[in-house]
Amino acid sequence: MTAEPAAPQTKPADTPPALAADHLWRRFRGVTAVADVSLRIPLGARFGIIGPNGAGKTTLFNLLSGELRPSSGRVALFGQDITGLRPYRRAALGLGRTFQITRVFGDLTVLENLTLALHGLNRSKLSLLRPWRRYPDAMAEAAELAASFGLAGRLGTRASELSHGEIRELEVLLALALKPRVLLLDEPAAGLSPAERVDILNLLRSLPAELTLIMIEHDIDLLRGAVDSAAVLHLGALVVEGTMREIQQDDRVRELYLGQAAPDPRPGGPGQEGAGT
Amino acid sequence: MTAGGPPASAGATTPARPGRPAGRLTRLTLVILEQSRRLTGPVAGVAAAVVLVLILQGNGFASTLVEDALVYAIAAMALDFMAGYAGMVSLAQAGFLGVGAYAVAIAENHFLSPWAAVGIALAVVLGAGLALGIVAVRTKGVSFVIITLALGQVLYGLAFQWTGLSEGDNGITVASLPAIGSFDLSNPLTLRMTVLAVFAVTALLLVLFTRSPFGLSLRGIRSNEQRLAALGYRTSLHRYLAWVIAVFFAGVAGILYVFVQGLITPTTMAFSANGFLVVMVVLGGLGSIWGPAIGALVIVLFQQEASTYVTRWQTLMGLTLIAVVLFSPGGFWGLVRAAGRRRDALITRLRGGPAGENGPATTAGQASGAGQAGGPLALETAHPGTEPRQTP
Amino acid sequence: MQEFIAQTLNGLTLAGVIFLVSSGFTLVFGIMRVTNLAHGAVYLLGGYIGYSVIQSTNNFFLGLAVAALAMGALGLGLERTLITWLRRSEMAELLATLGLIYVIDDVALAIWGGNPLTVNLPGFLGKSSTLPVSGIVYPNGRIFILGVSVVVAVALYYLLRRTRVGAIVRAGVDDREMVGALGVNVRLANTLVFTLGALLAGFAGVLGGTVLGLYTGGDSDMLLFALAVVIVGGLGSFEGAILGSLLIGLVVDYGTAYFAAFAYSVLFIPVIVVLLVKPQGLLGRQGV
Repeated sequence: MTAEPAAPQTKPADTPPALAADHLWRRFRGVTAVADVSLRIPLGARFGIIGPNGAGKTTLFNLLSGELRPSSGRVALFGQDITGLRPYRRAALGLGRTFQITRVFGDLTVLENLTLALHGLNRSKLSLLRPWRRYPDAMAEAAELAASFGLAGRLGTRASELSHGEIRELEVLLALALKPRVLLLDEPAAGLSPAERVDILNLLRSLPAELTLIMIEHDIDLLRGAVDSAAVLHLGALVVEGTMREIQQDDRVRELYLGQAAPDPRPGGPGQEGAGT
Repeated sequence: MTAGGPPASAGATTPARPGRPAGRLTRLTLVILEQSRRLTGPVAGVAAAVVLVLILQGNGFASTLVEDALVYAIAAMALDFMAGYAGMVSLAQAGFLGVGAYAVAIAENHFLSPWAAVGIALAVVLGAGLALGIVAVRTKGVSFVIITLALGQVLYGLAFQWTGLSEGDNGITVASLPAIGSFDLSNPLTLRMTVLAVFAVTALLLVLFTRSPFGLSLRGIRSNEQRLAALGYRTSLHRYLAWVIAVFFAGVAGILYVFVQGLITPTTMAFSANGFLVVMVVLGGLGSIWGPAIGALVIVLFQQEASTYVTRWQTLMGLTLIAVVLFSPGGFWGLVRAAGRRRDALITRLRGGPAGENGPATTAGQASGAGQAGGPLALETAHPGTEPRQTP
Repeated sequence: MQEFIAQTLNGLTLAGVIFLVSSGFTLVFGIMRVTNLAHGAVYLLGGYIGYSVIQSTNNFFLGLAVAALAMGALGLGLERTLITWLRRSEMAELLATLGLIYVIDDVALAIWGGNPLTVNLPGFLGKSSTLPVSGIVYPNGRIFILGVSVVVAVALYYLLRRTRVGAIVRAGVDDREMVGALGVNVRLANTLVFTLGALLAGFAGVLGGTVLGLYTGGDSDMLLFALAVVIVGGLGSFEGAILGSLLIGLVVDYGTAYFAAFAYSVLFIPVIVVLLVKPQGLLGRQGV
């Protein structure tokens, strides 16, 4: 007797979303950076956060990852309230993130960068007596990680001496080393050459399906290739949320981007360069 | 690792200077350089150890000098662990040295045996470190320097003003030293050898710590603390632990200090003393552990030679510090590393250019790679244990 | 009761001197992110120079003026050379100022020796007056210090709040990069602030030399007070310097008078409290 397992019905009421934001507000001395943003991002989603500069995207990320406390509102990871938790605690719960500005450990080698990441969720990070080079599992995993993104030959190079694209790759590798369940990527393609953008896109595509990906990006092409749905922010508030197609056809979004390059209205067609200022 | 002669790999028979065959001189130079990369560290270490032991056997000026230097070196190396690796430059290290020294002295003043005094002093230093660390670690970077400066001054103030306990400016003399059976620290030679032993153990422990995952985490903190936190590290805890370790060893140095000198006065904890330790670390080389030991020797040498040759040695020291900060922020050890890098580059060139193989694994205590300025502190350091750079 | 009032006045006097020193320190940090550890040494050196001038000319005000100007010139020279060369790194600058302390201290030791000196208050200032209301007899010199500190505080406040230069300085404290981007001559503002800070420190040195004396280690003591002020009041905050100076001056004075064994430690109490509760200082900003 073969019992066929029923196709999993992921109704929002049944399983908690991978990441949820509930009426997040963040004010700074009179300036409202994030205004009443609510999001429910399901497991395995490929979600984008877009909007003009100053729209509050990175602030929202900081609220999600714990670098900032919200003025009000809640953040939940797989149903667990993480609003009061600091970044290192969220990392232990499976939330990873990359940064747009503060990048990798520049004066440390690629191997040292990866080693730090690999010990991050282990008690071994407080170990005092055993040299870190004598952790064969970690060393092997570091080599594997590096190799998987083509950085195998760069293990001994100081991170600051890598190319832009390689630094970006290392940044993602560091986050991946923690085996996150949800990954926040802050403008992974910013400043990259067209060739490097293709590499990053392939990298993003190669990430496991169970990993929930949330990405801030300006590059519409990259978004179209890597992301299924997105939310558009403007002045800290959510303007519209939906599939990429819905967003591109939304009037409010068009208005928003007018003056900067408008999102390409033709689905699947060659797009104009996104508002990558 | 190849010994003698250029490797047989393709292209290696053509040296970097086209048109000239690889002469015997080139091969000889190559051998010498490659062997030096492996051997300089251990040889220098052994030589230094032998010299130290020999000097300490004596009874004259040199042995006193080295003894004093070793005591300060313990505190300086520990300060480097905190400052050179975690970026926590403390101007209170001499304060904790004083705490250790005064604890011994006050305990003995209250008729406790020397061993009990040592035990109490260790406990007091640890307690002070744990308690004050909670406050100190709430600040970073320049603010940390400021708060530790204030802390150091307050500790000095206690020593100076709490005359009931510390006898104020007069200080406290310590007459009885620990002894077990025939092992008696009252014997100057035994004391000197003990100081050397404690120094060696401290140095080796600290070097070990820097190579551990914890040590790496400190470098990560110095490099990009926010990023490290996002990787799951509770960075404030790491900084706190680094602080406790560093001030504990300062206290150990203080205990030795009061046995060696026989006396502790507030001057040992004055601002200038705290500054000296920082100078030792910077001159010797932030982030090298061994460098500050050399820095300690140099400063102590100047201090003791002051009356005879260079009366205005503090001016000289101040100017030297400024010069080092301006021109060679990596200090003495930074120069050593730079020489090592040049040697590596020369080896690569003599081997025939970029096709040469990777550099060998780090030799004992001396890597050819150099740490570069990083993070908001942006003061160059020289970290052991870094992989040698790969030539592209 | 009279004793207590006199003690309080002493505390305020001390607060005045501390304010003169710490205001310069905090403004320099605020606009330039420079931690000038040698600020205390400048104070002491100014005091010594004033002392010598007063000894030879018996003119107190001339001593004040020379000390202030000399230290202003020193500040100007330092800012144009050392500080500018090390703009790349806060820590490097701090360490360089540490080296400077040793140089200045050693030079002062060579010239004026290690014995404590006191600056004489000639003429009217050397006497005492009976204060109204309480009937306390109080030294004129201290009243003078109090008065001068208030005048300087008001003048600085006016400078910061009402003049264009002051606006630039305040904006610079708030957001250095923005001010630079606006094309304002930030370098000039930096130089002015640094010079002014040194000038005030030198000026304070002479005043401090009358009530506290000039002695080896006097620079570290004053530096400690100034640092406590900026920790409590907030690095970069002028109003914080006023508030902090009052607090620290009174605490240190009461501490010395009533808890002699713990005079310095007492001042650590407000420091610890502030650090635990509001690490950026009472009036400081986040991320300073």
